[in-house]
Amino acid sequence: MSEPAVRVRDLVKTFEVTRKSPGLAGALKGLFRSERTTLTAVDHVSFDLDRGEMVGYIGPNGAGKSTTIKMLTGILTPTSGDVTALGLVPWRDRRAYTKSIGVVFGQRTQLWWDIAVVESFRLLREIYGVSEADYARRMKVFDDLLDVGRLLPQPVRKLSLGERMRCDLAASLLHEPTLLFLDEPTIGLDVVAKANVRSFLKEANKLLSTTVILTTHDLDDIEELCERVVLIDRGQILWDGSLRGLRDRHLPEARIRFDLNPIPAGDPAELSVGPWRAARLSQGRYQIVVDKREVGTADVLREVVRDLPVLDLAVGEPDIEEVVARIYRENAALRRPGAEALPEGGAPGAVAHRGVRRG
Amino acid sequence: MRSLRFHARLLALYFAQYAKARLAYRADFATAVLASFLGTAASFSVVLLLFSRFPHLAGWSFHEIVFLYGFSLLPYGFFNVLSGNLYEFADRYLVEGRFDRILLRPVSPLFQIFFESFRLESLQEVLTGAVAVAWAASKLPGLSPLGLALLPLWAVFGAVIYLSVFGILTASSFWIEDRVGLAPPVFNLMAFGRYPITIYDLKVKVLLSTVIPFAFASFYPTTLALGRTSFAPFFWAVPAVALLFAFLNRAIWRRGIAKYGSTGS
Amino acid sequence: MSTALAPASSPFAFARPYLAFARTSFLNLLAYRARYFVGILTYFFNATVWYYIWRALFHEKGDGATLGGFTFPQMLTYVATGWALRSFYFNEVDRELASQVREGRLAMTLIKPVDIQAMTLSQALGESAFRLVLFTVPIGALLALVYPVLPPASPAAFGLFLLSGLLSALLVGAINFCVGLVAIRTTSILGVLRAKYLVLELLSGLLVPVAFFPEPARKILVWLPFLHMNDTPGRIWLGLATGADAARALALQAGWTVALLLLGRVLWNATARRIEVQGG
Repeated sequence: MSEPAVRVRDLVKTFEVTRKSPGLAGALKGLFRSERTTLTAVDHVSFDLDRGEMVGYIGPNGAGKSTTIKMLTGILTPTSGDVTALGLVPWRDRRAYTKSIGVVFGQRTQLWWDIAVVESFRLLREIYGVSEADYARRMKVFDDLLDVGRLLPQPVRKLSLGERMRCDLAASLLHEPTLLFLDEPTIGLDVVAKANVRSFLKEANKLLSTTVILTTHDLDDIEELCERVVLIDRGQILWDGSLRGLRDRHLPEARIRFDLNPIPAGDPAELSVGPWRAARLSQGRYQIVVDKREVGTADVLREVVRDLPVLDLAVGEPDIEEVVARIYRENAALRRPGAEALPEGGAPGAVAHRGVRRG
Repeated sequence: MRSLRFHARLLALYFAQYAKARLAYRADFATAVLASFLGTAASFSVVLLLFSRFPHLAGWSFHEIVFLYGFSLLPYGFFNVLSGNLYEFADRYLVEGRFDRILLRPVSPLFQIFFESFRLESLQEVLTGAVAVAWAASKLPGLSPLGLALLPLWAVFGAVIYLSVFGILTASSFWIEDRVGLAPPVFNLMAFGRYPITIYDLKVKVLLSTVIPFAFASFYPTTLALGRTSFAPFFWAVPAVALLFAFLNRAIWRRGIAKYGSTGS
Repeated sequence: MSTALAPASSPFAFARPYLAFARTSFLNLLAYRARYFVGILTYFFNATVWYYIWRALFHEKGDGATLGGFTFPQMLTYVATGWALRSFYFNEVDRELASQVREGRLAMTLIKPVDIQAMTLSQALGESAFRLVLFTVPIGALLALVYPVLPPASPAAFGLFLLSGLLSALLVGAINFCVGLVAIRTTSILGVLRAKYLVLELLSGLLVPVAFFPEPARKILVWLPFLHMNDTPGRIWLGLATGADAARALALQAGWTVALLLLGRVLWNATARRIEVQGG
């Protein structure tokens, strides 16, 4: 098969941080010397991105997401490890590399604040050496997909967040990059704007077969856009694979929720259904949490319907937020000094996957 | 040379965009020009107050002093037009994180820092300086035509010297955690170069010709026109000094950017 | 701790938040060590330029001459006290106000239960207290060591100089508060502030004593507040203003301070109304 678009191997980034001593005496001391400690932000991270792939890169605040992205975009130089992206080393061949990547920071615009959007586009056209014909053609596409046409004459500072993000997306794709980095592209957007951005990204990914790496807090982004997620916490990759696989591995639960009529006598907090227990959620409503590794959901359902006067019934899975929250918690517990060893197969803290090395 | 043409086009475009945005608020721009002019008038008044009382200062006539001071406004004005971003670099680019964006564009970072914003109103200084030089020149007989002809070019070299020195000082923000940086205090030192260097003693002369070469930006460039032949070697050294400091500036920015790449701040 | 300075039960309890502000700006300043060392040198260099300019001018006149009523040592002393004073009264209250507006923080300040002018002024005084120890005294000592600076004319002159210097700091705080409030109405705030420095350096007598101004300008200048930033304390140190003269100068200085504080209050009320209407 062809060379991957991005190849990351054993990427490490450590920072020296200055500790400020508190108070007046501390500040006086800081006038002459300061204490330093080392912090590992990214700890032996490895993965490949195939051409045309759209990957979600997720993790809690301070997990090392944006440090990784900054290394992949060439802003930061790693402490050790290798990255080859589009055949280049991002931080070493930065100027050449930036011509074939696009970067969107959800929190910061790449457009010039005081001038009209269209003027920003003209500057970018010049900077990236886009021909008039290409420019006109692409602007037409952006107008069709993102409806940016009517925003062009306005200065950026007058745009709403959603409008600005649409313009930013268009700006980052003006030079048709082969690799697109999106850092929190839906942050702060309302529901409609989020949907717009997502459908555009899907379209653009299909149309241009751009490789996209997306960091986000909003796991709905991932669920809608990405086949594959890379989950990072405390600088290490905990999961690299499909979203479904992540759920099956970490929280293989089904939740059977049912309403009873009549309400059982005494409105008990718990009901027994065969060997399982149903917990009361509200009056007449109960829930059974099924561990899918032990039993089939259908088996439990059958018994529920047989034994109880069920009026209504629904089966659900934990949403991805919950799965991820649990992984973070378990990972934190695992690393707490003196933490008990977790039961085998119960809660894997870090999963070795695709040749990822654990530190 | 393609790169030169690319950068020249880009510069013109940056400037046009900036001017357009700036002139959209005409009253505000007028205020800025007025404020800028008031500042220039105030510092010019100091020279007039002091030196109009004396026919000579250390062998320099009043008109020569005006000539010198007027000329000093040319590189100073050019510098001010381009230095708007330098002054706020630490704050706006490093603290607010805009520098990441600079690194993500296929254009020299230093070029972007210098030319992303302009202080248009400082063109007023160039104009005021030119008027002062012209007036003083009309009162001074026997100025060297070659010296006069070279003044504009030497003013550009002077601006390069100022920009490079302040570029270097601004780059210190890569290493020193300080929102303001070293530039503002040294800014005041430009005043040194506005008077005949002969009034200072050796230590100051050496300082102004080496570490902080402001004498090469505003004093030495006038000496050919004013017929002070003893300064000829210094006059002709101006382009070399400008290039030297420009290279130094570039080298230090490279290191600064490398440092930024390794620490992210 | 601010509590140590003013326990909650004390009659000075009202001052607590202001002391905390003063302390915070003090600590912030200490954090900037690079600027500190360069700052000291800059004041020294500035005084040095003027040492050479005056030396050249006095040299033209011949040794032992007086210019504008100053002998060379007196002029030099005037320059040294001037720059030392500047290192004391300097503050960036106006710039701070401006950046609060630019970042939209002023509206937040509005809802805090403190008086903004008192807060700003306590910040300015906190800064001055810090500057006195870390800038003014070392700079003064350095200048006195390198150049033949004259001692104060008398112990009384020194006492009055200290009083006048303190008033300068208050006066500059009051002026900068007003300037900041005017500057935020333009978008070229930094341009306005930069012009302010150049104009005030001229009008305060820092660069050229008032005696050097042409007669009409002098007549106007003595009725403006700016000379009280530099010229008044400088002349008191030299003994050029003593007795009734000194008392009159100090009274004018204090009067101007009060007047400008009141002006600041009026401007602030107008600004606050504008922010409430338009948003900060």
